[in-house]
Amino acid sequence: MARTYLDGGAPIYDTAAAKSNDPAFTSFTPFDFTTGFTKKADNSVAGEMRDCGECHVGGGFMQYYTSSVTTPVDASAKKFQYDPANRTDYRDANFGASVNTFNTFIDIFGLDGLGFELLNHQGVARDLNPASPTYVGPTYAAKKNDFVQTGALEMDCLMCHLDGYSWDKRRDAVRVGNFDSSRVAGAGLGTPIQNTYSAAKNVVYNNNVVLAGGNLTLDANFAAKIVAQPKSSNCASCHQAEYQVDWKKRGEIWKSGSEVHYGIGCMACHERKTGAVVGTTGVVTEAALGQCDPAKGATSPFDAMWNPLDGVAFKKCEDCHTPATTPTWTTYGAPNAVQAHGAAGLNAILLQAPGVKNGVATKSHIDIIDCTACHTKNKAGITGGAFVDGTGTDLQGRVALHDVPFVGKDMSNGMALHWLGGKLYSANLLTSFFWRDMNDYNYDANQDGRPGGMDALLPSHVAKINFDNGQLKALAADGIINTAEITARQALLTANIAAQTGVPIPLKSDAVTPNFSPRISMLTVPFKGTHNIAPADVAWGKNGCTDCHGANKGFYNGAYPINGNLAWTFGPNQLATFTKVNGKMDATEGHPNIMDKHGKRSVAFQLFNPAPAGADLGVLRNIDRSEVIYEPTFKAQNTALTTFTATAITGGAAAGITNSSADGGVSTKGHILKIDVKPTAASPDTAIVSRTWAVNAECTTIAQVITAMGVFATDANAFGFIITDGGAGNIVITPTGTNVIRINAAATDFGPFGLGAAAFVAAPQTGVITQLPYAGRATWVTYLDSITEANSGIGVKPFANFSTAASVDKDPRAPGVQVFTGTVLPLVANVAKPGVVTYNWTLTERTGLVDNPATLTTDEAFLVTPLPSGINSTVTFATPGVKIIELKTVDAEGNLSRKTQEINVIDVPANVIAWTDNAGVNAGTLDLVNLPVANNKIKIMWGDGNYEYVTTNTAASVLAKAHTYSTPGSKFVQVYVYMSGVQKGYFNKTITVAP
Amino acid sequence: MSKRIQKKSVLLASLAVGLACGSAFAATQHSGMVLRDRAGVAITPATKNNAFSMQGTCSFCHNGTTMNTKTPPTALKTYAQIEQHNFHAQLGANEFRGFNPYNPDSTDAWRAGAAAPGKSWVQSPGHFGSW
Repeated sequence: MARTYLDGGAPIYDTAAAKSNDPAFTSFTPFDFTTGFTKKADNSVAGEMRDCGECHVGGGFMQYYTSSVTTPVDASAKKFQYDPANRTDYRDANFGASVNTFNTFIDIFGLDGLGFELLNHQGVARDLNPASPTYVGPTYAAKKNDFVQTGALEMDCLMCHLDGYSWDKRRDAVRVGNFDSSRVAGAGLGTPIQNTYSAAKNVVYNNNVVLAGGNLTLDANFAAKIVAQPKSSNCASCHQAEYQVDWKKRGEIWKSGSEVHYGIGCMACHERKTGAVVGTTGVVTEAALGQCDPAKGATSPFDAMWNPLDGVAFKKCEDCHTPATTPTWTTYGAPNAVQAHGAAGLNAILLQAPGVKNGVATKSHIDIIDCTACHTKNKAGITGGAFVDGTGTDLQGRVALHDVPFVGKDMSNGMALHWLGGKLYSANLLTSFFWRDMNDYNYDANQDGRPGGMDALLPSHVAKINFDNGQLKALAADGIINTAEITARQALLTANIAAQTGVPIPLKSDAVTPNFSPRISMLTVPFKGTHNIAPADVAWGKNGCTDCHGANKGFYNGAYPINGNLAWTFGPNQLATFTKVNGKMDATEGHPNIMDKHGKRSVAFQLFNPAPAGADLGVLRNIDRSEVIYEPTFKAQNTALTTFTATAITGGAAAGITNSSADGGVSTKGHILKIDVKPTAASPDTAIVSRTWAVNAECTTIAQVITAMGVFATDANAFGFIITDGGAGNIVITPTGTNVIRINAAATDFGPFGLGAAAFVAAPQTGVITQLPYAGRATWVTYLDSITEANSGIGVKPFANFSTAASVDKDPRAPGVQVFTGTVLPLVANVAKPGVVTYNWTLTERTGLVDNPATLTTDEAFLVTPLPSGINSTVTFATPGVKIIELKTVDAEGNLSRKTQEINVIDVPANVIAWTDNAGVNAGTLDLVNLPVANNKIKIMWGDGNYEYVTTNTAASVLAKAHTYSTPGSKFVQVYVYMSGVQKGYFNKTITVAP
Repeated sequence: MSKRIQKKSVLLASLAVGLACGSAFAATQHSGMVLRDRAGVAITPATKNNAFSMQGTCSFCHNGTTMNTKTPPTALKTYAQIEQHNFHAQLGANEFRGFNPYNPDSTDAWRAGAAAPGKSWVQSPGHFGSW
C-alpha cells in the first residue's frame, strides 16, 4: 500500500443529494509521506520495480508517472484522466524533497537483492547478522531511488522477443535497482558491473554477441534469436513455469504431454485474428489491441485489467473447433468437436438458462459449460498454488510466500468450477491469508486513514516484526501451521505493531488490555483454468453422463484440496472470517464476485469454523466443489429489490447496527443504505434517483441510527421517503406523496439494517429431469448425482403415439372414428422416451380448392392449427369432415418422431326418432320428425331382423309407423332417408320395448 | 562522436532498415543493429560500459516512418505507440482511480464493485497503485 497522489482520496459525500461523488484530479502531485513512509506504505511503485518488476516488462508506470493534468479537466464521473502525453519519465523527474511512492521504497531485499538467501550468486555465504557491519540482508528502511543512478525500467522488448532471454538474470538485476543494465543482463548481452543501488547503468558487454567496431552492434547469431512471435518459453517465464509468479494462480499449465496445444505454442491461440485494428492511444476505452498485445481471453472479475481488450480478436476454442463459418485465421487442423459433443449428449437441451428456475430446459451443456471446464482435466504430477501466505517473507525477501511446495498442491484433483455470467468455467481455487486487526472500532492498524474494516496489517510491518524477532519467516515456510505458532505471532504483533504504525494501541475499558486483536483471515479466489487442455479422449464426459454425475466424481462435486501440501491446525480467536456477502448477510472466505448461476447473489462458503470447540481443534476444510457454485439455500431477490412500491418497506430487528462496542472492536460505521426512488409508479426508469447513506456514527439503538441519518431520514430534502423507528428494533422506509421506492440491490448492506428478509426470499430450483423442486445445494447435488443416460434419455430415440378416448366414436358401425363437431376431444400421448421430450400437436383441415395461377392447377387448401402442447392435449372441431391430428415428439437431442390419425367429424344429428310404447303387447309407434327433405322413400330397420320401405311425399318431414315385436327389450332402430335412390340421411336410436 | 560518423551511422542504419525491416524477422533484420543510448546515440568503444536503451535502440527503426516490407507496406510503430497501448506495460496505469476509490454511487463499475470496498490501497484494477 502506498498512496500515489495527493489528488483523489475518498469520494465526497453530498448531503443535499445523498450521493457520493468521485474526487477530481487537479494537479497529479505525488502524495508526500514526509517522515511517515514506513508507517503508511509498504510496496510503493519504486518497490514494485524491484519486486513485481521481475516479470513486469517495463514501460508504463515502471518508466513513467502521470505528472500533469489534461485541460480541460474531465467533467464526467471518471475524474482520473490518463493521457500518455502528460507523463514524465522517472529519469527526467524532479521530485525535490518529496518522499513519495515513485521515488521511495522499503528495503525488503537487502543490499545485494537476495533477501534471506543463505548464499550469494557466487555460492558464498552471505552475512545475515543484522549487527554485523557487512550485513547484506533486508533492513526495512525507507530508501530513495535515484533514477539518475539506476536508470528506468523501459519496456524490454527482448523479454518477449528474444529466444533464450534470461528471466533469472533480469530478476537479479532489478532486485538491486540495476534497471538500465537489467536489459543487458536479461538479453545475455553482458553483465552489470555493480549489483548495488548506484552505478546501475554500467555493464560489461559480452564480446561474443556485441561487436565493438565503430559502434557496438549485435552479432548475427544473436540477432537471429530476435523473433517477431514470442516463443512459448518466454511466456512461460512469468505465466506458466513451476513457481513463477503466475503459477500460484493457475498452476503449471504449459507442459509437453499435458497440454494438447503444446506443439503449436502460446501464440497459436493468442495471435490475433486477421484484420484487427492496431491501437496506439493508450486510452483504456480504445478496444483495439496494441502492436505487441497478445489477444487475451474473456473477462474475469478476478483479473479485471483493461477489460475493453478482453476477447478482442481472440481465437476462442470454438473459433477453431466449432466454427460457424469458414475461418479466415489459421486453425492448425483443429478437429471439429460438434459430432463428438453430439454423440456424448452434450448438445441435448437439458439445462436451464440463467435466471430460470422452473425446470424448463432451453440450454445444452455446451451452452452452459465453457469448453475449458471439461478439457482442463489436469494430470498427476502437475503442481499449482494452494496458498499465498502473507504472514511473513519467503527466502527471497518478498513479503509473502507463494512459490514453494508447501503452499502448492498436486493439480491432478486441483480444479473446481465457478460461474461467470451464467456459464461454468474451470478454476484453480487460490487462498491468500494474511493478518488483520479485528478491532475495526478505534485503531487504524495499517494507517490507511480509516480504523474501520478490520484492517489488513501492512506486510512490511509484519515482515519487520518477524525480522526483529529472530528473522521469522512466513508461517507456512516449514509446511506446518499450528496453534502455538499462531499464538506466538499474535503476541509479537500485539507487542510491536505500535512501533511500526507510530500510533499507540488504544486500551479497552479496563484501561489495561490493548484493543488490538490480530487474526489470520483468508480469501479464496477462483482463477480461470483455461490452459493445460486435455485431449478429447480424457475430457470430462467422454464416458457419458456418469463421468461427472454421481457422488464425488470431482467435476462439480467431491472434496477440493484447499489445504494442498500444508498442514493447518488452529484454535479459537486465531482466524477471522474474511467478509460477508449478499449485503453483509452471509459469511464467506470466497471472493464477493463468486456469483451464482443467475448472477444475483454471491455464493458464500467458509473454510473453517471460526470458533472451534476446545484447543487446537480447528482445521481448514477441503470444501466440496459444489459449495463454490451452489448456495446452501437457493434464494432470489425479493420484491423490495425488484419492484417499486408505494407502501412502506419494513425491516426486521437490525442486530447489525446495534452492536457497537469499543471492547469488542465492532463498529457500526460504514454500513450502506441506498434507496431508489421514482416520482410515480408510472415514471420511466430514467426517472430513478438513488439516495445513499452510510452509517457515520457508533450506534446501539435504531433511534440513534435514525438520528445520525439527519435529513436523509426526514424527507426535508424531498428525497421521496421517510425512515422511522418501527419500535421493534427495526427501521421502516415509507415513500412520501406519489413516490415509489425500492431498496438498491447492488449497494445496500441489508444484513446490518435488518432488511435481509425484505431483500431475499427462498427460491427453489426445479430439476429438469424430475420436475421436482430443490431447496438448496445438498438436495440439488443429490439430484445432479442421480442423472444418468437412462433417466435423461440420452441415446434413446423417441417414439410418438397417441390415443383418443374410445367412447368418443359416435358411430361405431361406420368406418373410422366418428366425432361430433363442437365437443372437446382429449388427446393422450404415450410417453415417447425417458427424459426431456416435447409433445406438439397440430390439427390439419381441408378448407377447399384454390386456383394456382402459376401452375394453372386447382389445389387442395389446408388449414394447419397448433393445438395445446404437452403429453395431454385437446381438440375441438368446428366443422364436419375428415381431419388429421398430428403429434410431433422431439427429445433433448433434437430427435423427432411423429404420428398422425384421421378423424371423421360429423354434425350432431337432429333428434329424429321417438318410440311410443304400448306396454304389455310388444308394440308401439315409431315417430320420425325433422326428416331431411325432399324425400320419397324411407327404409326402417327395426332391430329385430325385419325392415320395410315406406314411400313418402317429397315434402314430408314427419312419419309415424307402428310395429309389433315378438319379444320385449332393447332394439337398435336405424332409419335411412332417400330421394330418388340417393341417400339423404341416416339416423339410429336404441329404443326399449316394454314387456 | 563526430557529425561525420553520426551521419554515416544513420546512413548505414537506414540502409539496413531498407533491406530488412518489415519482412519476417530473420537474422538479417537485426544483425549489425547498433546499440544506442536513450537519446538514440550509438554506443561506442568510448562509452562501452553504458547499458543500452531499449527505447533509444529500437526506436531508431521503429519510429513511425520506416516502412516494413509487408504488402501493402506500413510504418513501423514507435516505441511510444507500442508502450503506451500495451496491457503488459500498463498493468492498470491507464486505469488508475486513486486512493480509497470505493464509491457505491459511482457510475464507474470498478469503483462501485466488489474489488474496492475497504481496500483503500487498491488504486487500479492492475498492479499500479496496488499490489
